Amino acid sequence: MTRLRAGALTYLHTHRHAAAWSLLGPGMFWLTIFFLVPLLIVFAYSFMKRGLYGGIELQFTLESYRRFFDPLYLDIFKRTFVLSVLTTVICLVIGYPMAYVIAGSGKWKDILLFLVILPFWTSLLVRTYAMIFLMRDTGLINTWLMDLGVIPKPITMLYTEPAVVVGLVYGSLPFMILPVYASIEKLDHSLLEAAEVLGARPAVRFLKVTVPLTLPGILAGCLLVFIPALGSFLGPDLLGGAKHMMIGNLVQNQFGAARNWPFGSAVSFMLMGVVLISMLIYMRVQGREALGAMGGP
Amino acid sequence: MSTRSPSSEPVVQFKNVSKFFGEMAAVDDVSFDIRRGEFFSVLGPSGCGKTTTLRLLAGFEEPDLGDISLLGQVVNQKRPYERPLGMVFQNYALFPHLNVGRNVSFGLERRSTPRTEIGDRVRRALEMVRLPGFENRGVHQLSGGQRQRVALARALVLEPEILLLDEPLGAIDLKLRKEMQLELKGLNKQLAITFIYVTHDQEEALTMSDRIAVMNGGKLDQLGSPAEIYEAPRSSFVAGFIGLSNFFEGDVRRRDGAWCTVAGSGGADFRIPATERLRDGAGVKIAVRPEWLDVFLPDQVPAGENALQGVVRDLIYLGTTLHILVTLDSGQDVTVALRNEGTLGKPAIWKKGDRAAVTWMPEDCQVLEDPA
Repeated sequence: MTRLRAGALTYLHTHRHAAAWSLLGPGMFWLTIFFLVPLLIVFAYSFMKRGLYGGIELQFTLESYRRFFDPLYLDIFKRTFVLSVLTTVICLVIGYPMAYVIAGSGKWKDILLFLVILPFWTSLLVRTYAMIFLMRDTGLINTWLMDLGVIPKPITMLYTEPAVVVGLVYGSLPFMILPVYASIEKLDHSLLEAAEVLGARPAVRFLKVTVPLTLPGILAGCLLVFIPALGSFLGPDLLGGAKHMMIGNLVQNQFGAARNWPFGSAVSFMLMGVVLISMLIYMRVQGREALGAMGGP
Repeated sequence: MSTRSPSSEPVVQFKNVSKFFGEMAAVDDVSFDIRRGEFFSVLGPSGCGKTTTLRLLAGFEEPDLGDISLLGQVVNQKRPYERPLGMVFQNYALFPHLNVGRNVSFGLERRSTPRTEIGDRVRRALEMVRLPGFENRGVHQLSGGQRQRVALARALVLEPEILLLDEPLGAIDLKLRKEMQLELKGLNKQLAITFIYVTHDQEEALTMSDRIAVMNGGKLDQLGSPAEIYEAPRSSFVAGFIGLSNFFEGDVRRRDGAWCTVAGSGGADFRIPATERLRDGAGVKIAVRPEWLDVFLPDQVPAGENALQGVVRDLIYLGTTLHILVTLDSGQDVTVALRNEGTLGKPAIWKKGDRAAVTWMPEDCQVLEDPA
């Protein structure tokens, strides 16, 4: 009897594994074929010689990585980093209060959240073009301001770095608001009341209780904004023009017009390195938070 | 903290306080005084307004009408951080991102207490709640009872004049709850801090309180010592909510000296103690505790006792007591509690279906004030 039961348990056990694999399988297959393999190809390309008309020649070289440290490209890299950080900070400064209000808005909550994700209903390309019509010299903003007599001649907005940041902030704001909203929504209200009874005024309460407890949402939002911003090319391309290139544009350029696939690959991998480092920082901070919550070091 | 007011002055005063949520009055014209050092319970079923009362005290809500005074000062508009009180929350509300020591020191840090003093006071507060050396533990590592103690230490370390406790023992298992009840009572006397304790658990309120305010439907139904509340309930709500009660109604027929005869609505007459309030022909309602009742064979009712005839419907074995449920001839069900003097090896005295008389001494009843 017991042997029979043991047998049945083993059967169930192995089949539980089978069930897990059948659920994981399709996704893993997909990621292996369409993520891992291309990634390896790109990695390999980055160490090869460029082909004359695009493509590569099978010859090992570190030329692409060496080229990356040319001041011209380092500048692009630096600009990408600065604009991405700026975008993230602005998104946080605008998005956190919004998320805070939405989380406390009661019956309006659903409508406000709907409005936050409404822009996703149209493609970013269309929305970015619409921003050009808004910001160009003969665009809506300049026309209005001149009609109102506020400015005598158009302000140059398009093809500047601020224009790029405005576009990036606009595109990424929902990715900041949603995770921050989720963490504020989860916040136990009695903790805020406890802080208040213990003598914390609103500002102190916010810094000592609300911010630490919503930190996971803040970090997730920052990552979701920062990483795509690093790799963005549509906004910088349309709103920044050639003078304000970001890494995304450089990569696009190398695989396109410049026909230097190895260099494009190397730049992609340098970008991945930055993303990876920021991920590691995130996990370190997150990990410390988790440890702190459990009473660790 | 602030200077102590003379002990005759109430520490807390509610004067005709009302709080509305929309149309509904969560707290409806409530007045009471709380004395210094007293263990004061606010008791009632959920939705009776006891939690709102506590939140008004803490400053999370503002009264719509009336005045709330703490230590002789009207505090209607004062924010929680401006009030001289501590609070223990129902779910403990410990900060999950801080360890035990930082939780306890949170309030001290807000008051810019010197670092050296903070460490000392935190240590003493944790010793007081019998968690010495727990400073570096994480909140998540603690059991429910330990969290409760940390929450208590966090409030007491500030040496508040008044400590508010919002059903703090609700989530703790029975045995630990009994222990904590005694400990809380001990701390109240030892520290001479006024405890204001909100609970829906009547037994807890009776065990711990100096005085109990029973609330119902936003109103204060009765305020008194545990004995007054239990033995002299003024309304049928209080009589029914605290302990068990049987209710009998009727019209006052005759007064003779110390007694009134009541024509019971069930058909049988019974006698009650005469009071000023009782007028001939007026309706009256009384409450009789199950343990004040007795059952006899219909023809063996002792002289001078009230007796209502009925049939034994059920017998319930509760350990220390036996409950006999009797359906009176009027159709009303009555619960009689008898002391259990042992049932094993003895012939059962009562069986279902037996005719029986439910009896009580005329003085063993409470004449209620609510309209019959």
